[in-house]
Amino acid sequence: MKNTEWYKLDNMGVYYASTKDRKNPTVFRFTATMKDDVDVVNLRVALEDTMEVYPNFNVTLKKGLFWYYLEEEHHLPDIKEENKAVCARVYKSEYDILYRVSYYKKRINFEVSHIVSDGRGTIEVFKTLIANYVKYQYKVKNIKLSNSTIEEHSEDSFDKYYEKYKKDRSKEGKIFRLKNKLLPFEDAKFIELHLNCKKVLDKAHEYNSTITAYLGAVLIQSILKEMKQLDKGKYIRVDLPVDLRSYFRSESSRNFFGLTYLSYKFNGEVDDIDKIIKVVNDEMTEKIKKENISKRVNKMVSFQKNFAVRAIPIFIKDMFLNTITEFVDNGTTSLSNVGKISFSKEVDEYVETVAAMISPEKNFKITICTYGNDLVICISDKFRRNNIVKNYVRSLIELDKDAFIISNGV
Amino acid sequence: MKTCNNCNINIDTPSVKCPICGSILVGKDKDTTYPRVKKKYTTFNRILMFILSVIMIINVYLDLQLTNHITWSKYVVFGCAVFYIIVRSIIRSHRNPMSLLTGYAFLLVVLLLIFFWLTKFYVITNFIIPILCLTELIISVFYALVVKNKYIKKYLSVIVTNMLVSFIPFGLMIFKLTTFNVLVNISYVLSIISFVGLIIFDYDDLKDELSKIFNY
Repeated sequence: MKNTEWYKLDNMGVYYASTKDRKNPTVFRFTATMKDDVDVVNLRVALEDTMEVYPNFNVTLKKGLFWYYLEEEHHLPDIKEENKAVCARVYKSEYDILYRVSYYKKRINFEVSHIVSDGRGTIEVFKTLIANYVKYQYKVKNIKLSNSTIEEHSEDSFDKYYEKYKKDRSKEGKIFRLKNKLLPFEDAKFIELHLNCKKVLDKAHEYNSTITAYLGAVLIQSILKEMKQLDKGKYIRVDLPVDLRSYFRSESSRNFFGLTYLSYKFNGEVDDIDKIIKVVNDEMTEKIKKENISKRVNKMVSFQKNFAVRAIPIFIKDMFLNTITEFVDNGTTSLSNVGKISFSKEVDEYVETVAAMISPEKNFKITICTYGNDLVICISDKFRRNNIVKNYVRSLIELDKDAFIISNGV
Repeated sequence: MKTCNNCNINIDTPSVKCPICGSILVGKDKDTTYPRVKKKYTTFNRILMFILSVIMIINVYLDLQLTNHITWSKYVVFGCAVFYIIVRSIIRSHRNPMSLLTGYAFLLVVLLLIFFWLTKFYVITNFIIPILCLTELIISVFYALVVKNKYIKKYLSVIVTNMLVSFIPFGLMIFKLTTFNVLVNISYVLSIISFVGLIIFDYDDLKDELSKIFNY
């Protein structure tokens, strides 16, 4: 038998591995709509080529005594026509490879468990897959691909940039959380709202703001509209995953993100967007400073570095992390901007749209990405009725009369 | 694309309702971007739970009617609960046969120990548990020899676990929970021998496997 490579899990991977058996494990999907119907044979060849470059993605999750670890697999998963719910569970057993490739008509879907990588890390793999597909399907030569080495993209950057004595000890007020009837996971709604990026950017610039801050402010206002007087004094907390690759030099395709958040206090009335944006801008300027991000990262990593924690058997860690996750919920919602996705000129010609989305877990989540001038806001929602989403989408539609929605129809 | 007149937006969806406001969409869209995914319902679990509950209720009822006490029915309840746990974990489990076998053998040993604690029935510790551990050890050693050079590395941790499980009868002997020790002695001596054999013949693989398990 061939010797198999194995990898230690990164800091976030440890958390996601321990909570993998929950009803809603975190999976995200990148999808590209091609010019023509997808050819599965060429997609298979493209996947083979991609995994030659990113073997750290073609892995299964194994259980050790104190920690989980990832083991490289020598075979690839089957590529099937889409027949599962969007962002459906990828991990079922220790033999399941932690990603899935599927297709439907013109769309290629690449779904990855958060155990392996984060959104930004997966983009490079996704781009390589699409570029390889275009190479074989349309016989395009000389496509420029990522030039990072296997060692660079399989690096655990959390470990590399951890500083022992710089921990964050922030505290927060009472957080407003949505209470509504949840749909089963396979019934979760996925709504892609396609907007003209330039129009949204112009609007954001009107307020001296960035797209993320503007969309975050609109989201906060949409939530404020649905809050009751009983919620007065509570904070809306919008979790913001921050790509650490823009702060620390890293080519890693594994998890390397930090979590920060926007918080906004409800004073009993719906504030104007100008006021919200001002608060959001100030918060973002402060919280995404390298020093503050670094503190939060160190806080996260210190758990994994603690000797007492390291000596606890894995099944106890699993129980602990699952209980914590169950009782200590995250914020009101989350907003993740994976940024601009761009292919080389030769590939662009064959790709119509690109979208990114994440499983909704307990409430609803928003993922944003941009491809060309197409700004795609993807809302994954587990609520049967969600007026916040209605408010949010309707506010954004006003910016662009040509906006349209693609939904999974649940 | 269909249109939602309420939200005033075009929507590409396999559904007839607007995903935002729930109102009925206007127009037809045969070529949707997302497929309609069929749901899979699992009613087997509920049927099984219902049948076992009926069996338990009838048994407890008959026991109370016939003897005025809960006598034999508690064993039926215990048996049904064990049966349910095992069937459910078999359905939910996607593990390989070797690790499944180890898991169930370990679960059975734990249940037998609970049963022994309740009944003080020494046949369990003298014979049943040592025979169970020995059988498991022999199967795993046989498996290791048969699949050698093929998948042995995948199962090394399971084989080592089986060897450690075979030490359970030794623990029972130490705590004086046995009255007849022949099978107990055979169990742990065989376990030591197989462990030594594994170290001698498969040291590199074992070392590699241990480095993964301990993450160093």
